Amino acid sequence: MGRRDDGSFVEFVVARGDALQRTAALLCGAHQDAEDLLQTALEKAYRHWGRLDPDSDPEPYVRRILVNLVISRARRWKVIREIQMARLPETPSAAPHHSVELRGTLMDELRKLGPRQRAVLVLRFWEDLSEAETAQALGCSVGTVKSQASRGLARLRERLDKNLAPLGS
Amino acid sequence: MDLESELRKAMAEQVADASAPPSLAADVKRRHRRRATRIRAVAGTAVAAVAALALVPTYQSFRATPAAAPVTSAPSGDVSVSRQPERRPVPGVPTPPPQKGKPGTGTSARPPGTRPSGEPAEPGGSPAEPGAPGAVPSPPGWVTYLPGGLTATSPCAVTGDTGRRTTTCGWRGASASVEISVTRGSGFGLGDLAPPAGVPGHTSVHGTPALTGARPGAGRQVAWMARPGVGVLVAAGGSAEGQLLRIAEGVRP
Repeated sequence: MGRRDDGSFVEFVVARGDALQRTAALLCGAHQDAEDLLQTALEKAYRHWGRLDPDSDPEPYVRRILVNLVISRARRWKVIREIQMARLPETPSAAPHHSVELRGTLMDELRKLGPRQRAVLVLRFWEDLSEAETAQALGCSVGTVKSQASRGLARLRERLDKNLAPLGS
Repeated sequence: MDLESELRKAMAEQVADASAPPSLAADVKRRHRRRATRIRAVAGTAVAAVAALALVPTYQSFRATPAAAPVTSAPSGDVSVSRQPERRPVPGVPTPPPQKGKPGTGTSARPPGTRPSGEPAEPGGSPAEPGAPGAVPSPPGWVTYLPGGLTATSPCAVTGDTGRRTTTCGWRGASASVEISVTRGSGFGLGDLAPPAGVPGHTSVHGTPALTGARPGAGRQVAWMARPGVGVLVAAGGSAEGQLLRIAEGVRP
């Protein structure tokens, strides 16, 4: 069985770098953090790149590292994350583009979710992973994924109802 | 409102302009190299620290010996005794069961009537008697270093009783003097050997705590317990004062 080499790592990063960067941005909520996080995740994957099976797709492995990093970093830097995510209370006004306002509010509320719940929603609805794949990426059971996704969506819906009520939605 | 599809659209809008930098792979490799270098540096520092900690006691143990051993073999005119195959017994020391190299016993035992090779014959064909005029007693075997230009003032003297016996040897030169006393027995400690004049200082000889200070009268002295029941006092005056600790390191009672 052959081994993965440096060249295959560069090819993988070139091919999947943008997608991973977007996932990282959604997972952690800030583009600058996403770049640093993605580099860290790729560096961790690079350490063991030669030992990965050349016939298998390395993306789930990298994605799992990414999710774990986001969750551990959120745990460690909880206070910093809260400062970064803090937003001034916005005064709702009747926006001409209601859908744009809705999506902005959705993203704000997504950022306010816990890192694990946010990761479930991103992997399920952005990466379009199945519940089993999401569970594998998060290292938890399918049931946990289901409950986390359900609770996350319910929380978003509740907050949206509260925030968008003045807009007449 | 279909929340799931709205969430998908919101995420797509949010990251529409996000893209990985072109140098991502190179940045990752650079980060990996930096990490490896950092780990190597930390490991190297740890190994060096452990090695240093292990070598310091070894170095200390080596450092204690040169004070006596190399000097005694150097042809510098010092009174060297360690290389002499045999020595004349110290005259006037009444120590019946001679033990080789022990204080108070002079030197190694020799069959009567024999002469060590290299020793000049005395005038008249008879060996000089211990204590006879003109005879210069050699330092005992347990003294391995003395500064040059010193000669024994008299044979080593043994005083005291069976409970505590003190062997005292003295040497004198034009501008220096050395006196070494070894006390064997029980019921005495470092403070009993010879209290120095003034405030004593603390040092160590062969790694043993020692008291040093001014010698009552003139010169300096150092005293230590070589082992339980064996105390040593070394005093030096004149130009030998500067070599007090070196002489002390050369005493092997």
